[in-house]
Amino acid sequence: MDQFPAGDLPVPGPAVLGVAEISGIISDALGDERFQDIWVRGEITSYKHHHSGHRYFSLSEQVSGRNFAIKCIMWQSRAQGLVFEPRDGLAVIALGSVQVYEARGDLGFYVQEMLPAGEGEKHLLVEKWKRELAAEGLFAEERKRPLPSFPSKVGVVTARTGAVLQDILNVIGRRFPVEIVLSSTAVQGDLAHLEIARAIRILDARVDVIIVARGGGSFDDLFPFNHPDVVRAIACCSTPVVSAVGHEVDHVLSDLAADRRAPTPSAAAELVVPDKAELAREISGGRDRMSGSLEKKVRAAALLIEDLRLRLQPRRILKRINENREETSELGEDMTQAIRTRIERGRSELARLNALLDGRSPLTILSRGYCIAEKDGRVIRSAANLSAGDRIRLRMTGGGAKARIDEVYHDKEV
Amino acid sequence: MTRKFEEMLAELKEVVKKMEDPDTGLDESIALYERGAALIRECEQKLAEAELKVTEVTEG
Repeated sequence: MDQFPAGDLPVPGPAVLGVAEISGIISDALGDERFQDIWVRGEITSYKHHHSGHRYFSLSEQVSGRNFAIKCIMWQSRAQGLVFEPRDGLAVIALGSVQVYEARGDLGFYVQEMLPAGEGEKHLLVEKWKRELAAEGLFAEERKRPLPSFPSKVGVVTARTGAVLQDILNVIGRRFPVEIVLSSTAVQGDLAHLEIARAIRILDARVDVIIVARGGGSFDDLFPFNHPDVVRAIACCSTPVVSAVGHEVDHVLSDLAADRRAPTPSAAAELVVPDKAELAREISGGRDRMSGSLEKKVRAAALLIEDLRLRLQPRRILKRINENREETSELGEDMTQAIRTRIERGRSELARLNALLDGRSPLTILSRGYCIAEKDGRVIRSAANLSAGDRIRLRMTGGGAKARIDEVYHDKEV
Repeated sequence: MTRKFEEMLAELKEVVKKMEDPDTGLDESIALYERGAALIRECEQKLAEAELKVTEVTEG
C-alpha cells in the first residue's frame, strides 16, 4: 500500500491490470464450484476428432430463438472412456469443468465424461439412487446373509417365458433337483419395477432362497433393476436373495442390495443348490473313512488280544502255582517247627512244676521219719490242741496207727 | 432336498470324525459304524429321490 503525505488527498486513477493479472483473476473466479465438475446438457456441433485422439467440439443450445454455445475439449485420455461415438447433432450430457486457456484467453469446457442425453440422464439418476440408497444403509455389507446350504424350495423372480427360467431349471435339475417356485414378472418396460418388486414380496418367506434374474440387455433394458422399489423389495426380504441380472459386465443396484450377486442366471442357480454328484462323492468318502477306521480299530484290538493271550500262557500259570506251592510248604514246615518248639517248652515247664510240687508233698516229709498226728480228721498242729485221753491217728510211711494220749506236756512259754 | 438331509449329512460327518478319533473304543466304533451306514443309506436314498418340481405363485 502506498503511503501518501499527510494533507495530500490520494489521486484515484483508473486501476490498470496486466494481462497476466486479469488472466489470474479469471482463473480464480473459475475455481468456484459452480464451474467445476458440473454436468452440462447440449447438442454437439463442430465436432472434430483430431488425429492425436483429442476431441474438439461445441455444446450448443437454442433458447427462445437465441443460440448459446460453449467450446469443449475432451483430451484423448478421457475420450478413451467414451461408450458411444459422438457426432454433430447428438444430444449429450457432459461432465467437466470450465477453465481458461491463458495463452489465448479462450474459455473452454474441459470434458471428462460424456453420454448420450436420454440414457446419460438415466445413468445420472442411477448414480443418485445409488448414493441415496447407500446412505439408507441398504447396501451395507453387514446386512448380507449367507445362502442356505440345502434349500428345499428355490424361488425365482423372472419372466415366465424365455431362456433365463429355462437355464435356471436346467442347472438346478442337473445339480440338485428341488422344488422351484416361480413368481413371474415383466423384466423390462416403464412399469416393470413395480411388478418385479411385487413378485419378490410374494415369494418372501415362502421359499428358502430367491433368485432375481434377467437375461442380458441394454442399459435401458436392465434399468428396472436399478429402481429403488426393486432395491427396497430385495433389501426388505427376510429370505436371502441372489441377484443375477444381465451378463458379467452388467451391474445394477439390485446386485448391491442382494445377499449375493451372480454374474448370470445360470451362475445364480449354481450358487443356490449344491452339486448332487459332489455330495454323493462326499457321502461315499464318509463310508470309506468309516470302514477304514473301523478296520484299524479291529486290527488294533486283535493285536491287543494276541498280546494278552501270550501273557496268559499255561506255563506261566503253572510256574505261578509251583511258586505258591513252594511257599506254602515252607510255611507248613515253619509252622510244624513252631508247634514242636511250643510243645517242648510246655513239657519242660510241666516237669519243673512237678518237681516243685513233689518237694511240698507231706508224703515226702513222712519218708524222712516224721509222722502226722490227726484228731477227728484234722492235723494236730500244737500240743495245745491235745488233752489226755484223746484218741488220735498217726500217719507214717508204710501205713498208720491209732493211739491214746496218756499225758500232755507243754513247753514253758505256753 | 430338505433340512433333514442337511442334518443327516452333518451327523454323518460327526460320526466319521468320532470314528477317526483314536480315543473312541471298538464297541462304540461298531455302533457308530452301524449308525453311519444307516445315514449313508438314507442320504443316498434322498439324493436318488430328488426331483425337480416347478410351481408358480401369483398371490401375495
